[in-house]
Amino acid sequence: MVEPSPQTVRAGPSGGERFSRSGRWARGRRRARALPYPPPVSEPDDILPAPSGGPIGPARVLERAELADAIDLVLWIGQLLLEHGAHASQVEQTIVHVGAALGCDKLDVLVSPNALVVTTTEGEDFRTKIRRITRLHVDLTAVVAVNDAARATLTGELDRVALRERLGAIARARPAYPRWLVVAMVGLGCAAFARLFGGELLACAATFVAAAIGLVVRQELTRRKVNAVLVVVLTAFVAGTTSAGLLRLMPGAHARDAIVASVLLLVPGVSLINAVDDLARGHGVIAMTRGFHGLVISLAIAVGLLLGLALVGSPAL
Amino acid sequence: MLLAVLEDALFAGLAAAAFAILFNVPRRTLGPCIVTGAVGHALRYALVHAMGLGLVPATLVAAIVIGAFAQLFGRLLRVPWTVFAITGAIPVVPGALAFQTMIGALRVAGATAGTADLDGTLTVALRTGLVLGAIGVGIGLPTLIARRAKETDLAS
Repeated sequence: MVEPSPQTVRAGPSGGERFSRSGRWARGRRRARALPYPPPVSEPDDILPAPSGGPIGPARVLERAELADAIDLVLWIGQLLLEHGAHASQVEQTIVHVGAALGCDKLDVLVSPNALVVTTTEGEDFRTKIRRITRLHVDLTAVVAVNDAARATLTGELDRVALRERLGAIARARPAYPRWLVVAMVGLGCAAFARLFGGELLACAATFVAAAIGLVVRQELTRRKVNAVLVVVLTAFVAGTTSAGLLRLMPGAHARDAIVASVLLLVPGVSLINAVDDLARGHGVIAMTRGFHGLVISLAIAVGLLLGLALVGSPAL
Repeated sequence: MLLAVLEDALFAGLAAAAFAILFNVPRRTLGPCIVTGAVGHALRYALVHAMGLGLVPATLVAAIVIGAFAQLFGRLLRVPWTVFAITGAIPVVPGALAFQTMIGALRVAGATAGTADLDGTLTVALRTGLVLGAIGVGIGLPTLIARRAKETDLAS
């Protein structure tokens, strides 16, 4: 059989004219139309008075629904990226490219530290939607998975329905590593830091225990929705108390700088590195926010650690 | 000397692995994350201890190499480069210096503080800040150069 010509597509009820104009993404779009897709429930302002006597009337409503769906999808993509530790230019570019692949004529994005604003324009029609971003939970597997999904959308491998399914799977995904492994590895990693800072074997052992306990404390507090800064203070306090206390019990282990290794699991690396990238690419506001966030977290680490050391009466003070 | 550098690379790699797992990187990127972290820190160690370079310039060079490795792995595995930059940069973070700054600040604020305390603390604080700045600048440099090539590339 012959591929349907643009003319037949245009005659279709789903506003094919706009969606087949550029031709570049036509493959993905044609497949998107072939699948039965329940359009989202239309909001009151969707229902336009149909112009008298023309096929444009009903098609127009559906088209706006499609626009709404596209904007919802790109906002979800942006939300997943921003929440899980992507930098601003990545969020912006991914949204623009995926939006184009989903058939938006023009797309404007505003990436702000705690919200996303996207406007899609199709001829005279436009839609603007804001999505609040309320949490930061670093998960680079999710960032990479969204990136892969966006790439697959660009090549036409994923249509709107499949993309929505994929994003849902990403949002529901379990962590890539079992919890015991994370705790053990963070303990080992901080012990390695203690070694790099010149600690002996005993100091490294104390750091291992303190960092592992610290991570468990942080996970539990975070799960109980304690304020993020307070979580850092409390975790640094527990880890600092543990490592300084253990080092006091072991008179042989003299390693002043090794104590700090046990709180390094709190270092806001993602915020600070992203701040650098955002600053270099002109996302000044988000860069400042991230940098300041990194600074506040660092101060919170210091407060918790110093309180812990004071409690134990550590000679490091 | 070589042995000391290798030992440094081993521990730095362990630290990078820990943070990679903490940040939940995809399993297929775990190896490159470790390599980036180990190479960066071992390079700085070699520059400081074998070539007598200062800590700040050595960190700058190491950070540029970390950024370049992150770009390379990002392109090869089609993964955002920051995945490798974040985990690779963690080992060179000046944790011990920051700790000394903190303790020094407390000492300066104490009742019996002298100018020597202030002097020492300011020096350490400056060094901490400069090392952090060197990491930021160094890691950002390769991406700014490499990015020109492909404007439309998704998140590299």
